Amino acid sequence: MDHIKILSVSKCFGEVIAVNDVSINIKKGEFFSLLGPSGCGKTTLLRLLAGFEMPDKGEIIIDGIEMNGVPPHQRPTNMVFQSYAIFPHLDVTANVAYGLRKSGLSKAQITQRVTEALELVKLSGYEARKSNELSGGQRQRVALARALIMRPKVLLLDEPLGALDKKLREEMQIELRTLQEQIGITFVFVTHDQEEALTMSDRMAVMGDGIIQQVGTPREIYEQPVSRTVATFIGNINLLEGIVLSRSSAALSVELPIFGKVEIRNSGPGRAVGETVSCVIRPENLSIGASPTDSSIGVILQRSAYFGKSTYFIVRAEDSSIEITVSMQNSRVAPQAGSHLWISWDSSDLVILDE
Amino acid sequence: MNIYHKTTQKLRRKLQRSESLKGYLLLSPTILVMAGIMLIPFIGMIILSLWTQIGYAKFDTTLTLNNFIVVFTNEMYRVLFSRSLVVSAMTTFLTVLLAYPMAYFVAFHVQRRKLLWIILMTLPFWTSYLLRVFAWKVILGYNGVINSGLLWLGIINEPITLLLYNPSAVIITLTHAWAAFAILPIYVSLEKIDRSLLEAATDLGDSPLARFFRITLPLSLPGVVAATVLIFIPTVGDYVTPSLVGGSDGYMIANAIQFQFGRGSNWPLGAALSLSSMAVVTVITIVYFLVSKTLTQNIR
Repeated sequence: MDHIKILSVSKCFGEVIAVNDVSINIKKGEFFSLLGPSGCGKTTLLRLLAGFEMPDKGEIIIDGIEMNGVPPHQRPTNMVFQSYAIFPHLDVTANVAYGLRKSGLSKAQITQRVTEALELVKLSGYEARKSNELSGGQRQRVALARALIMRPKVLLLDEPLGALDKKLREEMQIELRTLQEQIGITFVFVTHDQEEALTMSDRMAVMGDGIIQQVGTPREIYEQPVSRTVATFIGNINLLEGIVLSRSSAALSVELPIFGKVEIRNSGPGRAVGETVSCVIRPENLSIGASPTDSSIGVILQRSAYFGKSTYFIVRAEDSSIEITVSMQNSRVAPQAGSHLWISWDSSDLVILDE
Repeated sequence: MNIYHKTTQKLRRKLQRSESLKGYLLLSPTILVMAGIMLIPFIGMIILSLWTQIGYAKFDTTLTLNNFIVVFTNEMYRVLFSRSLVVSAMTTFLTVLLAYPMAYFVAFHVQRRKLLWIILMTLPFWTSYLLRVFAWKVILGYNGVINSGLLWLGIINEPITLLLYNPSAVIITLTHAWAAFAILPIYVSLEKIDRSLLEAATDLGDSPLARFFRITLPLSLPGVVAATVLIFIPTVGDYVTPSLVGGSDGYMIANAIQFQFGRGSNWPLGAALSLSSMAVVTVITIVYFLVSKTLTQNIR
């Protein structure tokens, strides 16, 4: 059974439609990410789950219980805030124990739970620190411990890693994922960082303009994007407009710029011959070489961008101004702009977008 | 010419090097004014308090502590001191108690035009202090608004004399007069509270009331402390309000000081009273500050 059901939920702020008829089902124990650019409605959706906002339309069901009208302090959810919201007048222990006051636990039990929670987030020894004596990463751990000690059915995380530096963020991604697997509760994770969503999630939803663009596993989203919004938001991608030449039940034959005539797996809605379609291919699915192979095409290197472990080559065909990007693990040779190169690909990596 | 040039150059270089010198230079007009209107009269007061009056504007300049001995042994002054402290403590307490909900309302429930609300709340301050005191005289007086209202309603048969000319009248008037000084600092400290802290408290199971006592109130304490000090210090030394609405029972220490410099014609005793009153307020304020500092040290 689905743990969280979001049924055609809408939420407006004045004229702005923040969340527009969104329906998602989230399974128990799943690490589910809401990904999208800022202002896409992902945080509003999270706040609807937490109860800080009530939906204008639709309903939210958590664990079989209808949540409309239930205030935040009575929901089986807890939240890790983007700003961490550590109470500045309380020390770490008091912050973590904050929600247990009315739990009916004895003092010894509370101390026990706090110790466990701090061990879980690797913050033992910091019990007496105040919020202003903690680093960003430590505050984040306090916020996490404070929410987890409540033993919520669902943990909501609002861009919790956004304020950390890159290295710490990558460490925390792994740690957070390990923690989630260890305690097994449902995580709903909001982020605008596509890499973060891809690395951490079991499943994810890509949002744009208050609408769910696509829901799926990170692999599905990355390899089989359905729309232009998803394709261009997640990672780097080459987008090419082509014309359908012929069709069979299994494949479409499409005429593309640079690539010429290619056979692409036919997965989406029915396409008519002569119709214009959008095709995408990831830069890392193209390979580049200095000499021609059986199926390669000659291109001219326009410019390149060095990224450490890989380099992006922006190339164009001799008879076309359309540019495509090829990414490659770094080799010793760095070709000069203007030099002639050959690119090759596997047609199974080409994807036709639904729209 | 050459020497002049050299000295200015030297000075300029020194100025560029020394940050503190620059600071003092910037402060110098203020320092001069403060010395002129504060420090010199203050020293004058100290000297005066050690003299003895022997006639109108005539003093025996032998230094003596007699005036201070009078201040601290005379029963009347002890009564006046304690009354002043009680009246201004009550005023401070009531003002903060009344101002807090107003500041809270504007900080949390007014969405737009907060400034307009604040200005409206401080509107009474646009009229003269004296006028406001007289207004209360009109409200509380024998033939005043309250008495005539109650008479008209038939609740009382003759005007109540308990309303005016006593310490409570002083407290009521001062409370109204100083309201804005409490509203503003409390409003600022409430406005500063990160709203996500309140959401976090709710998320962790707090009802709105529990949240107020566990988060909002502790975090707004710095504003409350500021308001308390801002009101307590000046009200101890107020003499206009007690002399207009206080009657003989509402007589405060500042009235005694005023009397000694006026009809009493004992300036040295007045000076000694002033200095003692200042010392008492300073000690109380410092103690209060130290206590509240330990209470609020973790709130930024």
